[in-house]
Amino acid sequence: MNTAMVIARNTISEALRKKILNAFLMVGVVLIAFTFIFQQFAPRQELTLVKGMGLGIISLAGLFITVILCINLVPNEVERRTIYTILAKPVRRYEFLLGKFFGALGTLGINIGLMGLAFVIAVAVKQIGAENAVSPLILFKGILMIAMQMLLLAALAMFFSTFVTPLVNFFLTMVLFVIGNLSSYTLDLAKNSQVAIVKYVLLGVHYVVPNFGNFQYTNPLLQPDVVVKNETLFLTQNCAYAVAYATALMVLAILVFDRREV
Amino acid sequence: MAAAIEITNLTKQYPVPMKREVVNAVDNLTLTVGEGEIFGFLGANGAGKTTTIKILLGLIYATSGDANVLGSPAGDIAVKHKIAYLPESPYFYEHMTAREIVTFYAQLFGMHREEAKKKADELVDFVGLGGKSDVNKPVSEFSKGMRQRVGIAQSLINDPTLLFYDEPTSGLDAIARRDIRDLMLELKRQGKTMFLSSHQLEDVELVCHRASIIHKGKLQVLGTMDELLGGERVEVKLENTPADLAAKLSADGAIRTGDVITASVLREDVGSVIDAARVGNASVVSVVPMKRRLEDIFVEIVGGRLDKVSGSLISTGDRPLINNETSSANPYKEIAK
Repeated sequence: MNTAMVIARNTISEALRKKILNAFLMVGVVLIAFTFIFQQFAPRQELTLVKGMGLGIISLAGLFITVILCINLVPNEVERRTIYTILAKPVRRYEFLLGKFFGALGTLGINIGLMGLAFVIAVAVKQIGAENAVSPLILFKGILMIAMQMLLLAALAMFFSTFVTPLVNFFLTMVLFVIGNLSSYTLDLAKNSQVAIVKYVLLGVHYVVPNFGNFQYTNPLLQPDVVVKNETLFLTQNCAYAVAYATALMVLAILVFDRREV
Repeated sequence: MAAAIEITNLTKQYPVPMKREVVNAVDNLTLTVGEGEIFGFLGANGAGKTTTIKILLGLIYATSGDANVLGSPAGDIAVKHKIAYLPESPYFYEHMTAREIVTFYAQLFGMHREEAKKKADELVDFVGLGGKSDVNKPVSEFSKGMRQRVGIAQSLINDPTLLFYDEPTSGLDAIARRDIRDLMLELKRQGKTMFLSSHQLEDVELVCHRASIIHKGKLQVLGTMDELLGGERVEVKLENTPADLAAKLSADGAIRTGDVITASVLREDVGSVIDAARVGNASVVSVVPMKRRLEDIFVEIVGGRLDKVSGSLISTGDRPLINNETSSANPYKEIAK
């Protein structure tokens, strides 16, 4: 695992130099700062808007950073032939792949962390002098859910990157992200479907495609009247789901990459 | 001599896109490289050289046949601690300096950061990139020769027993090429085993103990440099040559300049020609072995002309490169009698 960590560190250092990823990060931070322009609403509405927009911006910027970073990590190494000198060293293929994956996670952690920090600071500033101000630190629960969603998405993109081109990977990952976000609808549709084959296809989609919709945690943070019964259990279950699903995807990715010719 | 590389009936096929056909990138290749040997592996572009090296490194997999490196199957992780690879036109992470790159690769051998940094300093100095002007430059600002030096530095981290160098002098200017050739000679002096793929045939002639040429994935020629370059023919110059010998030599393409005839004769016929000259009271002016150049052999094979001469292009190293059918019938023996 030491080798994987060496590769991960190198991946982070390279990824943080990528202009396109930094552009998304900057846009995210700037948009969060721009939430201050909403002055025409009542203070409570304004705060709700800032929180909602902030989480939305982090989620959207995180989505693009994750997809653009992860679809290119392995193909770039093959195309630039850096993989030859790395795999000619005593590096096992799974160590290489895990190194790239952990590097991607580190990069995402830094990006989402920075945007999250800007967001929490923005909310804290907005709350100065407000009545019944809630600690902005609870917003980290929403940021954690976004981070877990991106962990799962990163694993999905990494899995596809072991056998499809970056362009195909981009579309596959994005389509599955959209379908996965509609997971509650696919289940409802399956339950209500009268045609057996449609029912089973929808159930298959619901259970096979990662349920990205599970990680939506904006409403409980914005609406005081929306209460999650057991918040700790909800957060833990979602984290466990993301980690377990990502692990399964990475195991599959390792199996595919082990036989792949580079 | 123990074998560092053993390749037996190695074949690598690739499917032809949109067709139910396959193309043989490597075709039933068999060869052995001994420990401490510098082995030249030559061929035109697309001949299968890099494919063979990639199979030996475990980067791609053979369709059939066996490839063993240092006694273990190709790609074995334990063996990778003892080998090194310099790919053709190596690419490195552009934002890193030479020292950072070598440090990164050293850590892949399990070295701790400080130990890796120390090793990197040593190797960067060794390949001549330790100067103040180069040491803090990112690789993106390096010339091709400097990148190649970084490649060589990363290939020496583990003090390898066996080195795979793929076109190490390709595209370099004369000075950089000489420096890298000198470095390969130094590695030869140190007793390293090297599997050298190169288009620079003069370098191969100078550095290698043995060489092979592959063409369209098939082994065409394999032999020691003496066998390959020694040549089959000897230039014999005779003066006042008797008419019957002169006629015979002229029929074989000899050139007459005044009283001197310059003939190119097969090595095994030299004795008979000299005997015939003595019998006819001719003077032997000179007898000089004709050296071939690797480039001549390469051009003959790649151009497909050697087939017409020999029928078989393969030399095992035990027998002559060109199996000339006429050599058994010596026309000069009759004249000598």
